[in-house]
Amino acid sequence: MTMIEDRLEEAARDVRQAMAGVAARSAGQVKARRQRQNVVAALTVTVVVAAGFLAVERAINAGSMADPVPPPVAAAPADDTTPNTVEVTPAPEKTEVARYWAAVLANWVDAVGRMNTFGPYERELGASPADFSETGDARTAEGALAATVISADAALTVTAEFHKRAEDQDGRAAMEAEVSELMADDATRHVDTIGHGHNLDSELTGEVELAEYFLTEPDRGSALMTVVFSRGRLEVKVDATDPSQLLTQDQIVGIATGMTGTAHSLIWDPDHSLTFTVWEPPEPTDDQWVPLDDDVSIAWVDEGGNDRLWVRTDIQEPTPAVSSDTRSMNAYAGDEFVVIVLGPPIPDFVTVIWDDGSSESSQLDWDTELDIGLARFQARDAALVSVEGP
Amino acid sequence: MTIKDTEHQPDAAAFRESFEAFYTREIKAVIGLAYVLSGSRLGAEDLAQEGFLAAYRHWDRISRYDDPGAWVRRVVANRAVSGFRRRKAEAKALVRLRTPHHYVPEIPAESDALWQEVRRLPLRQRQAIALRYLDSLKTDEIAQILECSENTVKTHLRRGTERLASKFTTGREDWT
Repeated sequence: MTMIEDRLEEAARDVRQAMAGVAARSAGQVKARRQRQNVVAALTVTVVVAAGFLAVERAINAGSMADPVPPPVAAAPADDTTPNTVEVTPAPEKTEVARYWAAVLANWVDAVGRMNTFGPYERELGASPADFSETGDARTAEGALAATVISADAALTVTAEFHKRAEDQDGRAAMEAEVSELMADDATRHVDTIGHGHNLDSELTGEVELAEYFLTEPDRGSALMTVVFSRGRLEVKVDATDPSQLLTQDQIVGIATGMTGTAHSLIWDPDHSLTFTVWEPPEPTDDQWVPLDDDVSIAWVDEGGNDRLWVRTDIQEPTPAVSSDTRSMNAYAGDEFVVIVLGPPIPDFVTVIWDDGSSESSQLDWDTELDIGLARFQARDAALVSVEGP
Repeated sequence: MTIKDTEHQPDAAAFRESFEAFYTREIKAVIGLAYVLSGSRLGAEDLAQEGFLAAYRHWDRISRYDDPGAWVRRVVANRAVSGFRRRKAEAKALVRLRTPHHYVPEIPAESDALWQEVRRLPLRQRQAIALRYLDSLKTDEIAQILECSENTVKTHLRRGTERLASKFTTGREDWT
C-alpha cells in the first residue's frame, strides 16, 4: 500500500469515528428530553425532505396501536374569520406514535415561526421587513411563506407552478429554461428564483405544494408533513396526529401565532390530518386610513369588537399588527424606519436595536388628537431586532 | 444491480420494520459518504436522508435488491457532488435547525484537508475513492454503485490516488 493510500485509510477512519459520535449524540439528546418532558417534548428528530408524496397510512400504520389515549378535550369551534380560534375534531383513535409526531410538528412549526427575523436571506427571498414583527416572528402570510420558500424544493415548485400558469408563451418558455438551468446546478440563480417565485405567489390561485417532509426516527416511527400555499394561505398538513392530546389550546394558539404572527385556524380532521392555516385579517377600506404625515398612514379595523392596527407607507403595502392587542408598530417609509406607538400612555423615547449590536434612541412626536407617538430613524442595512420603550 | 425474487409483498408493519432496520444499519456510513463528497457538515445529514427517502419511496422494490445500501449510496454519491444539491440540503438543514448547526462533528484537520483534495478530483474519481476508502468497498461493489465496469473503477482509483499523491508530495516523503 502506498503512502497516499495509507493516508486515505486514516482519513476514512477519522470520518467513521466522527459518524459514530453523531449517532451517540443524537440518541443521547432524545433520551434526555424524554426523561424531562415525556413524549410531549420537542424531541430531536431527523427530518427528511421528500420530493413527492407518500400515503399517510403507509408511514404511520406500523406504529404502536396498542396504546390508545383518552379522548381529546373539547375546544372552541373553528371560525376562519376569528383570530386565535381552534377547532379540534375528536379523534377516533390515537397512538403513541401520533402523539410523538404531533410534538415534533409543534417543534418544527415553532422553529420556523421564530427563525424569520428579517435579514439578508429573507431579503433574497423577496420578503420585506413588514412581513416580520419586532420580535422576529413572521406576521403576515408573506412572512410565513418566505420562511417556507427557503426550501429549495419549495422555490422550484412555486416557480414551476407559475410556469404552468403563465399565459404568455414566451414568458413560460423563458422560465422553463430558467428552471432547466437551476436543475443544471446553478445555485446562485436558484436563490434569485426563490425571490422571483415568492414575489409572484399572489398570482397563483390554486394550491401549490411548497415542501414535503418525511419525519422519521428509527425507534419511534414516521410521519409525513406537507406545506402548501393555497388560495393565499399557508397550510401545514401532518398525518396521523392529534395535537389536542398533547397541546392545550393556548399552546396551539401560541405555536400558530409564533408562525404567522397573525391569526390562524388549526383543524384536526378524522382523516388524520392537521391543517394549519394562516388567517389573513380584512384589510382597511380607503376611508379608514388616517394619514400621520406625507408618507405614513394608519388604520384601525374592527374585528368583532377588537380593533387591529394597520400601517402603510409610501413604500410599504398595508400591514396588519400582530394582534388587536398590539400597541406599537414599525414600518419602512422612504429611507427611514418609523416607529408608531399607540397611547395612552406614550413614552418619551423609543430605542431601536439592530442586529449588528448597535442601538439608537429617538424622541416620540405626539399626535395628541389621535393619541399616537411617531419616531423616525435612518433605515439601516442591519436587520431590526427589537423596539424598546424607555 | 441484481434483484432478488423474494415473491413477498410485505404488509405495512413489515414494510416499515424492514426499512427502519435498514436505515439504522446504514445511516452513519451514508452520512459519512455524503460528508466527504459534499464537504458540507451542515448538509450531509440531509443529503444522506434524501437518499434514504428515495429508497423509502420505492422500498417494496429496493428491499428486494441484493444490496439496498449500494442503491442508496449511488443516489447519495450522485447528489452529494452537485453544488446545487449541496446548497439545497444546507438550506433545508437551516430551516430544520433554525440556526446554523453542524450535525457532523469536526474531523482532524489533516484528514479534512485530504478530503478537500479528494473533492477537487474529477467526479468519478472522487466517488470511487470515497466508496473505496470510506466504505471499504471492493472494486466490483464500487462498479455496481457507479454503474460502470471494474476496469473503469480501477482506472478512476489509480488516477485519483496519483493526483492526490502529486498534491501531497512534500519532497521529503514519497506519497506514491
